[in-house]
Amino acid sequence: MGVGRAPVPKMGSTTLFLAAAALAASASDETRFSLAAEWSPIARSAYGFHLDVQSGLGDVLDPGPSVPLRSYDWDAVAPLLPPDRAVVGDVWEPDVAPIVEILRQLDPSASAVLHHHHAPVPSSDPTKLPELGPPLPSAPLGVRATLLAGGPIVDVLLRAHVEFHLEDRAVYYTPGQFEGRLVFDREAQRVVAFHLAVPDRDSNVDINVEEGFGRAGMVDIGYVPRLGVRTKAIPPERDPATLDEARLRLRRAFYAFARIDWLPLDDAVLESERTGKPLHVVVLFGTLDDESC
Amino acid sequence: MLRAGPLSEHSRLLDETFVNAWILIQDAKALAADEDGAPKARSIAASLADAYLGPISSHVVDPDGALRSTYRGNSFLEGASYEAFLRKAGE
Repeated sequence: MGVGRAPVPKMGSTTLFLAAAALAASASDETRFSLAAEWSPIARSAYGFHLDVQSGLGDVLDPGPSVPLRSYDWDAVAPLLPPDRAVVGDVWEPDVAPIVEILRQLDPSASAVLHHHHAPVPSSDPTKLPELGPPLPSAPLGVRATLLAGGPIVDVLLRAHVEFHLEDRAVYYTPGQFEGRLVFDREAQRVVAFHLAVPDRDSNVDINVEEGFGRAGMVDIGYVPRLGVRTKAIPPERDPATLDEARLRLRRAFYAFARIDWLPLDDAVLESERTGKPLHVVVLFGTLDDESC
Repeated sequence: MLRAGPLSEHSRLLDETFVNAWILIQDAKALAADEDGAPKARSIAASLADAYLGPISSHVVDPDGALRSTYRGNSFLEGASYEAFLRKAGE
């Protein structure tokens, strides 16, 4: 933080205290930023869990943000910064804890422990849910980041896998991913713009009801239009192709299968015709390259 | 399981032998019904939608558009070999 670095003029003790306090507040204000949180209702789902008012599940799945507006210090995002010698295109793996802490603004149950990548450990108490054991091998957990632009103002693209353990883990609300941009002034230690949200695409959230509501073991997949946090300032626009390349780098950092050259079906049909190779097509009801299916 | 397992383990086989695509079932149905779409892509999308075995299934389609083979994703959990499916369908 820049709080302790401001020069303090020599003055009388009261004046000194007030001036120092003012400087500290000023420096602190410069390094602080606020995030507005938004969690919209599920707009559509395969099995309509979000419409289940009778059991209360509909309300559970529409909690709204826990803290609509929260102020953060520079330290909240400092662990996400690129390594000193990072160049554009580099990918690194920051500590996921700061991301989870920020997403607790949405709900205190935010967790980087994705239930479907951890083997359940049965509880000795039959009334309790199984605990989640250690992660399975090659589990795509945590956060990855890639540098979009360096210089005085640094621009980072982030992808994080975080879910919500609602109702004490009776309901797992698992977004496909959170994608974010962190734009900051490294010298001033100031966040220029930040957002971290579930991409707006249908489908983008998986729902597992473990018990309660008379729906043990039920699964749904749906579309939540808005779920995330953001500063008032928006990150600068980037060339869509540049962003697509950066997203591919992050996908490949999470998933080995993303190294396969996947084509849109229309293009794949033409390529199959051109090369004489057969088509291998995966058909599914949720996105292949995120955690929503 | 299909992602972390066979799709990752056999990525080289997949890239060398096949042209690879994935599509949401609702998008396959939409493409099949799209009168402005390319006829061959529409026909293949319709075949895929008909052969789909939820929640996830894999299909091999000949370059001429004929559906050659289908693998039900959940059969992986029952021990069905994805590699065998790929090798047989890729012959």
